[in-house]
Amino acid sequence: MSQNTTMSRPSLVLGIETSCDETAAAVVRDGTEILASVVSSQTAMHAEHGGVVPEVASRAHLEHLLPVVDETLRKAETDPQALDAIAATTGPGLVGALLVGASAGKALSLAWDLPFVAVNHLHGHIYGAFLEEPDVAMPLVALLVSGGHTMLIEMHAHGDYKLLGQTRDDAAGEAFDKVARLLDLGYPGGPEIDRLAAQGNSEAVQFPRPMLNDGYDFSFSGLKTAVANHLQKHPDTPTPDIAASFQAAVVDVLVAKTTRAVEATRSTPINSMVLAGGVAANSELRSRFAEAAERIGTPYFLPSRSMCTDNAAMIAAAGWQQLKLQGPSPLNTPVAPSWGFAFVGGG
Amino acid sequence: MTAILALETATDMVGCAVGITDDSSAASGGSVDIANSQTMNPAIGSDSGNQLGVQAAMLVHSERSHGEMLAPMIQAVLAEAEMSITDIGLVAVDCGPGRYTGLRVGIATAAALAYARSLPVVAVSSTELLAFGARKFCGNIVPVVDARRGEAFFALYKSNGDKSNGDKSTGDKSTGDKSAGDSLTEIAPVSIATPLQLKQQLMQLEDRSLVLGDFTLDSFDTSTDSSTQISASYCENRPSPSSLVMLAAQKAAAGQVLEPSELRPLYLRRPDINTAGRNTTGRKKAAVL
Repeated sequence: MSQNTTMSRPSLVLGIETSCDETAAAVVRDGTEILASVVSSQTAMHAEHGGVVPEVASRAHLEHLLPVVDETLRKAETDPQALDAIAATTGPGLVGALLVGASAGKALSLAWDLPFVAVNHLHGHIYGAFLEEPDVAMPLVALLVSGGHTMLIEMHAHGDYKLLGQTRDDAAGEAFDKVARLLDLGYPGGPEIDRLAAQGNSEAVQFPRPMLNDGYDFSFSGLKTAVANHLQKHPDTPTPDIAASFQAAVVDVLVAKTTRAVEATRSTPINSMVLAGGVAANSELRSRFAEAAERIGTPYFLPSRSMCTDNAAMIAAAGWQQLKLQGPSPLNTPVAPSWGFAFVGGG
Repeated sequence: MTAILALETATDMVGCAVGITDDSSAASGGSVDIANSQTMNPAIGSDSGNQLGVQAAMLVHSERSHGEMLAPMIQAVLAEAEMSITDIGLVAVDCGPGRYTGLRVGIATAAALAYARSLPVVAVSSTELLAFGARKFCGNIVPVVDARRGEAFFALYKSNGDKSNGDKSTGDKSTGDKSAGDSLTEIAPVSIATPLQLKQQLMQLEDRSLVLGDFTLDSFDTSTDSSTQISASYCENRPSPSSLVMLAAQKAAAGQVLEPSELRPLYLRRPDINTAGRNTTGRKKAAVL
């Protein structure tokens, strides 16, 4: 396997992402410039079941991956011979889904004699920031919120991460989906709650702010139960008011903890705060995150809507940094469905 | 000469083999060097000194590490054969039925390799491949593959005991889609059954029968039926990557090649719809293969 990748010339990385319900590929130059990024979403496929069905997702990934890779290379006008590495998500995520992308990625690396890089999906989300704003200054604090994860991460340098806290039960996005189900809204629930909340009164119901002043961990399952209890006792509460009040409770907790993490005393002060993950598309969270950052005078980064979604450009960008720091991953790298932030190397 | 890379991931085994087929016989509709090949013994080279046949093969047990083992195994088998991936002219893969996760590893790998090197692919079924490995048996061949949840995938083939072996030019063109090899005819296509249903089907068979595969063979207590033979050989009860090389050569010669993106697993079941991560059999979702 060739490992002659150097920093002296532009590098091209093909990224592959299949950890959940998006089949994605991208070509990224130097970890910062997206030449092409293609995402084939399965959301509609899973909507009728109210959530991602693992076997449905795995089957769809296998059908869509090669066409997505092919379209990506054509859009990027990139000859495979010009590529420098293949980066694929190997965790965390659904095991059957991860295996499709990881297997194809390893095969492409073998066929084209390119280094293979096994990328942590969560790192990928952070690198979404560097893709869109290469000048994001470290050390940074990132709030990563999606359907599967809610984490606060401190990052001092490329490859140097520290997990400050994470959810002890439901992820924030999961709470949105579950409350949407209680309210008979569609799947995915986040966008619907976001839309309805804009028409409601966020102070109509005083939902709890779980663990607001208690460390950096999160807990959202109690909040979901509080919504269910409220609906039982007061079935007449207008849905927009419930949506707005619930959303305000989640956002309060997320923003308060991020701000507290940024302001905490350290030897090296935090230079920026970064929002990442699917829930980063929530408009209330975006505006409150930006307000808080401005209030404490910390530069902040909000991802574009397309970067909030799972994509392979962020995987290619993270993979490129990882290749430079740690070299390629062996072809016997297993997929790691519950790969967390705490166990990654480099930090 | 075409070099074939064969990938086998349908059961609890991971396998890979490379072999070389003679295009001149392929072009005339002939088969590969079956006379020189023993399915379970990959150390092949014909007496005449040419290098046709299986060059290297590996088949190892793997409960859930197909995705970790396959790519390094391809490298190891190519190295053993003193070949490079760039020498390969055709990719063959077992498309099941079998374990879903294993099948997806094999097909994702085969499709990506073939795509990357602009190669055609050959798809075979696991039952066809098992029957092909047992084609020396004369009578009914019933390959059975564990379908989990107390069910089995199976198909029915008729074998004349590979009598065409010494006469390669005969009958190859007429084998068509129904054939799994020179001497095999598909009688019943692959389907899914409980052990009881399968046993009932076996009892109706005339002629002697060979049952083989990875399904719990205790389920087929046919002690009262002396014409049914149950394979007890662990190796013969798993599809073989060496057989896959040979069978793929035949199929390629018969024009049965696909584009990489056309490869699909034979699932034979609709996906489990259970978003809560539980299913009715109580297995956690990560374990459903």
